[in-house]
Formats: sequence, structure tokens, C-alpha cells
Amino acid sequence: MLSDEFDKKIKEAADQHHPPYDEKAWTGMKKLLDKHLPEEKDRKRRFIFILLFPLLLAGGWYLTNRFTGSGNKPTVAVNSTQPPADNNSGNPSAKSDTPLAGTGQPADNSAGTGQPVANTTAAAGNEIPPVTQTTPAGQQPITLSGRDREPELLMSVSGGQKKQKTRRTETENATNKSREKTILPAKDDSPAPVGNIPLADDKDARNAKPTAADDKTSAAPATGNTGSPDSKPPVIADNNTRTSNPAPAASTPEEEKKNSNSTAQQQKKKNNRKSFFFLALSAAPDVSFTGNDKPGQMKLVGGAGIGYTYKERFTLRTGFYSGRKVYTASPSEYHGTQAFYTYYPNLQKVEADCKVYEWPLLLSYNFGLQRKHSWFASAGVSSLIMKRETYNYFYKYNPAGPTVNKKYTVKDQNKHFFSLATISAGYQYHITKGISLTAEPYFKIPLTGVGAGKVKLNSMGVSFTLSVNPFAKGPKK
Amino acid sequence: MTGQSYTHLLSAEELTYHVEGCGRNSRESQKVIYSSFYGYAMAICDRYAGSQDDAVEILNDGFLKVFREIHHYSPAYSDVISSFKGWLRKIMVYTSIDHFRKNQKHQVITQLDNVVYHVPAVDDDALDKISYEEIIRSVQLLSPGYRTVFNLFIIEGWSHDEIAEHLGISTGTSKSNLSKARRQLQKILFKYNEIQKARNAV
Repeated sequence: MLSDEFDKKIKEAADQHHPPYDEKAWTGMKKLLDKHLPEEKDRKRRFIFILLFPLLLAGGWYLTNRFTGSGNKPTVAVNSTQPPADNNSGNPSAKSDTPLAGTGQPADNSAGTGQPVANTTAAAGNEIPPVTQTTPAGQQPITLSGRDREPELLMSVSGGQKKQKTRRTETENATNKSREKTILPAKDDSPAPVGNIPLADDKDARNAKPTAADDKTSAAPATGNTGSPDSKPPVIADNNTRTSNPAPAASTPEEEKKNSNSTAQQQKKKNNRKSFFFLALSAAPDVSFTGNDKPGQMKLVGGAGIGYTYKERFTLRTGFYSGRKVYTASPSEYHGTQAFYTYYPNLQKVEADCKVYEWPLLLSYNFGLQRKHSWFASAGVSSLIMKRETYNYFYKYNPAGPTVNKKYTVKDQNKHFFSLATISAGYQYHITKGISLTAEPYFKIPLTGVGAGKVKLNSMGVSFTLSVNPFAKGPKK
Repeated sequence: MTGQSYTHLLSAEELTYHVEGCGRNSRESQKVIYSSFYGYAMAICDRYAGSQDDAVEILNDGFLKVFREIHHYSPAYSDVISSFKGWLRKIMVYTSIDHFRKNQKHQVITQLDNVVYHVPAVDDDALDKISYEEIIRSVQLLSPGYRTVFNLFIIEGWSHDEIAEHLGISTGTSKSNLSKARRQLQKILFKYNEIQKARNAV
């Protein structure tokens, strides 16, 4: 029929029609690809992700050094309101266990008045070496000697003015620390008549009755300002000292008070650190890869956990997490059995999609503790349970032939305990006393091969966790 | 590179390699695949488009779909190149249909002239004198609706039911459009033939 011939001709025309390649068409195509499938973004995203993780770890290391370094500096605990320690009763009630400033450092306060002061830094043990302070002509020399946990009051007179020195002693832990004292600058703003200066002695100091001249003096708050270039004679501060004369004797009482308060607060905080259990819910975008192969698809890993924090410093965590590991393995990364290679000769690559359960065990060290946030670094191990493994094997029957592929699924066969090592660092923000949010970039390194092909699988991601301490007490009303 | 089709230059291994490269969004591999199968894909799009620009637009949209989905692609049978061409062809045809449907509401479906033409039979000799290129250009001159049905039935080998389902028309309309397309194409080819005769006479 004519129409059949006609149709046939049209078909032939269609089969024989091959328009020549036009570079302009590719220009338009490239624009479409740049718009809908941009090439650089993938690299950028990967680059940013790879750059961010080491930066976070480096930042955590830097903060660790910074914050733990500041905690080691000796500070002076000065609390003029604290009751004096009663040495005879053996009362360890004195809580001013903050070391005095300038511990181990010589005090030299010879500026201005030309009053060299001997070193009064604490010696090891319980005894405080005697200190001799020379005063200008016309003034009585003062010799000090000390005993453990004994408040002493010293009065010095200089240039017609009455000054009060207090020697503060440090009361440490009953088993370990020794008392120290330091010399502090005295505040020269309390006029007092020239008078006798009681000597620093155990009983004498306690029994010494304050004279009229003493009424206008007060204990100098101790600070760490030993050796400060102050023209006034130094004052030995005792943090157990309580005086009835509130007038400040230090040259900068506000500063000294501030320092002493912050030191006391720090020490108090340290002692008040708590330990507690908490529950956690986590989710993390996770990427897996083998050796030098390209990272697989990003998948979400999620789960719940439990942890215990000791003194807000160390945290032990564990939990149960579920997720998918999608990756591509080259033939060198995939280790099949001998029989495997008879089914899949000339293996080209393996595409894997595995559902896994993970049990991590992590130990964290918390640093940079603030009221609202903190940083931490963690290390630990994880166990993997391969729930379902789907492999797509690309292979050739002969090296010159085409590539074909076949899928294979394994269920509930492979379990790998402590097969991954995890390192991470993170930032925790405390929303309330009992609830906090955490962001934690992590990296998992294989200790053994996993799955049917014993593939050494790396993973990395960022975990976001909501932690709840169910036993946290609310704010006091 | 211009003026050449590279379909025959790619071996099965090269095609596999570049398909993988496209899966990684490698521009280099995408260009190789694009240039290699340009002629094959454009031949399909040319028949569905009313102009060269429309054909390039359909072609590029089709290749964008190819590159988006290529990481899911795996050869259906051992002949890798034929398998890929079949997959590519399907995408190009569906993209052409999408273009038609998108533009359908903007086009006026032309009716056949009421004037009856005495159309002499286009004999084999006449058709032989018209090149394949001119036949394809004649198909491009058809109304969009007729052209799409004509291509799907005659060249792709679809049934009227399949055509009706994909174009959102009835089976009867599909048959009617095909009949009209044939007559319109004959008219166009007749005019070509007449023009050819006139040229030869000069």
C-alpha cells in the first residue's frame, strides 16, 4: 500500500538523519549544567567539611591549653569575713584553701619606702619561716614567726601613721597542703596614732587586745600582689583573719576584693562540681568511604544514649544508633572469599548500601567550662552490627568484554565488636540546668574490616545531641 | 570536533568509563557523552520540534535529565552502547512530549484547509528525489499536535492507546490526528516535489 511505502520512507529518513555536532549547543548545555548540576559546589562542600573538622579539633586543643593553664596559676584566697581557724580544736572548718598569691615567689616591696622585706613564701611543711621587716628610723622592727593555722595580727607604724598588717595563712586540705603567707601591700589610708605593734605570735596574737589605734584599722584583703611596686609597707595577709575594724588596709581594696572574690568563687566552683547521669538523643549526617575512594552518599544516623559525667570534667557515653552506610569500594578494598571471585570475575567496583546498628563507647574530657557552655574532646570505640547489606557488584566476564552488574543481599550475618575507633570534639550549650545541646564533629577509623567484603570503612560526620539530666534541680525560688 | 558525530568512536569501555564520570558530575565526561550522542539525540528532537532552536532546547533538557539520573543507570543487556542509546532515546522522546504538552495550550491546532486540493499520489520516484533532510524538514512543518502523534506512531511505533495516555487525548483523536498528519505531510512533500521539478526545469 502506498501509505505503507510512505511510512517506510519516513522511517528511513528518520534513521538516516544525523545532524552534525554543534559546539554552540554544548555552550547552552554547559550553562544548564552549571545552573542545575554545579560542579564546584560539590568540591566546595567537601572542602569546607574537610577543613572544618580539623579546625574544630585545633580550636579545642587551643582552648584546652588556655583554660587548663589559667587554672594552674596560684591565687590568693582572701576572705575577710571568714572566721579564724582554730588551730587547737583541730577544726578543719577553714575553707580558704586557695593558695596565696606569690607562692614560691619572693616578695620585694622595697619601692618607695626603702623597706626591704624578707621572703615570706611558704616553705614546705608546716612551719613558716620568721620574717624580719625593717622599718624607717623611729619605728619598731617587727619580727614575725608563725605556726600552722594561726591567725596573727600585726600592726606596724610608719611615718606617723598607723598601719595594720595582717598575716593571712592558708588553710589547706588537712592531709596535704601547708600554710603559706605572702606579703601584701598595705593601704595607707587609715590614720592612726603611733602605737605599739603587737608581735606575731600564737597566743599573743590571739590574746592581743586591740588598742584604740587598732580600731581604725582592718585586715587587709589579701591579693596576689606580692612584689607590687607599692610605696607602702607590705601587709602579711591571712585568709582566716577576721578583724573588727572594717577599714581597708590594702592599697587597692576594690581590686584586691575583686580578685579575692573571683578566686574564692573559682575554688568554690571547683568544689561544687557535680556528677550526674543524663539521657541523650542524637542525629548526625554521616558519610562513609573506603581508602582513597570518593565519599559515599550522606545518610542520617540517629539514636539514643546514656551517659555519666564525673565532676563535670569527664563523661562516659554509650548508646544505640541506627543508620545506613552507602559507599563504593574498589576491588582492592573488597575482600571476598575464593568462591566469590568465581561468581564475579574481573571485579570492577562494588557499590554498597548497608543498614547498620552501632554501639559506641566514648570518654570525653570537658574543658572551658562556663555557665552556659563548654567544650569537649572525645575518644572511644564502636561496635557495628550489619543488619542488612546490599552489594551491587560490577564485573566483566572477560577483561575485554562489557561491564555487567548483579546485586546481592546479606542479612544479619556480620557483627564486628570494637571495630571502629572514634575521635571527636565538640561544643555544648546549656539551655537550662538539665538540658543541653551539643554539636560534635567526629571521625571514625576502622580497626577491622566490616561486612561481607571485610571493607575498612571510614566515616565522618557531625552529631547533634539533645541531652537531658532528669535529676537536675531547678533554680531556687 | 565540529561537524562530526562521535557515536562510533566510543568503545564500550570508554562509554562505561564516561558514564561513571558523569555519575561523579565530571564536566569532561559529560561533554564526551554529549558530543558522542549529539547526532543520535538531535535526530529524535528534530522531528518533534518546529524549529532548530526548539530542537536544541529539547535536546539540552533531555541531556540534563540524562546527567541527573545517570548514576542510577545500568546497562539492561550486554551491548552497552545499544543499551545506552535505547535509554537515551526514551528520555529524548519523553522530553519532546513534555515540551509538546507544555506548549500545547499556547498553540492553535491548525485545521486542514477546507479547500480540496487535488493531491496527486506521491509516487516512489518523487519521494526518492527528496532527500532525507527535506523529509525531516517537512515533518517539522506539520502542526505540533499532528507532528507529535505522527512521530510517536510511525517512527517510535507506539500504539494509539499509548499515545492517548501520554498526550492526554482520546484514542480517536490520536487516530484522527495521524490521518490528518499524513495528508498534511503529503501536501508538503508534493510542494517540495513541484519545487524540485521547477528547479530541474530551469
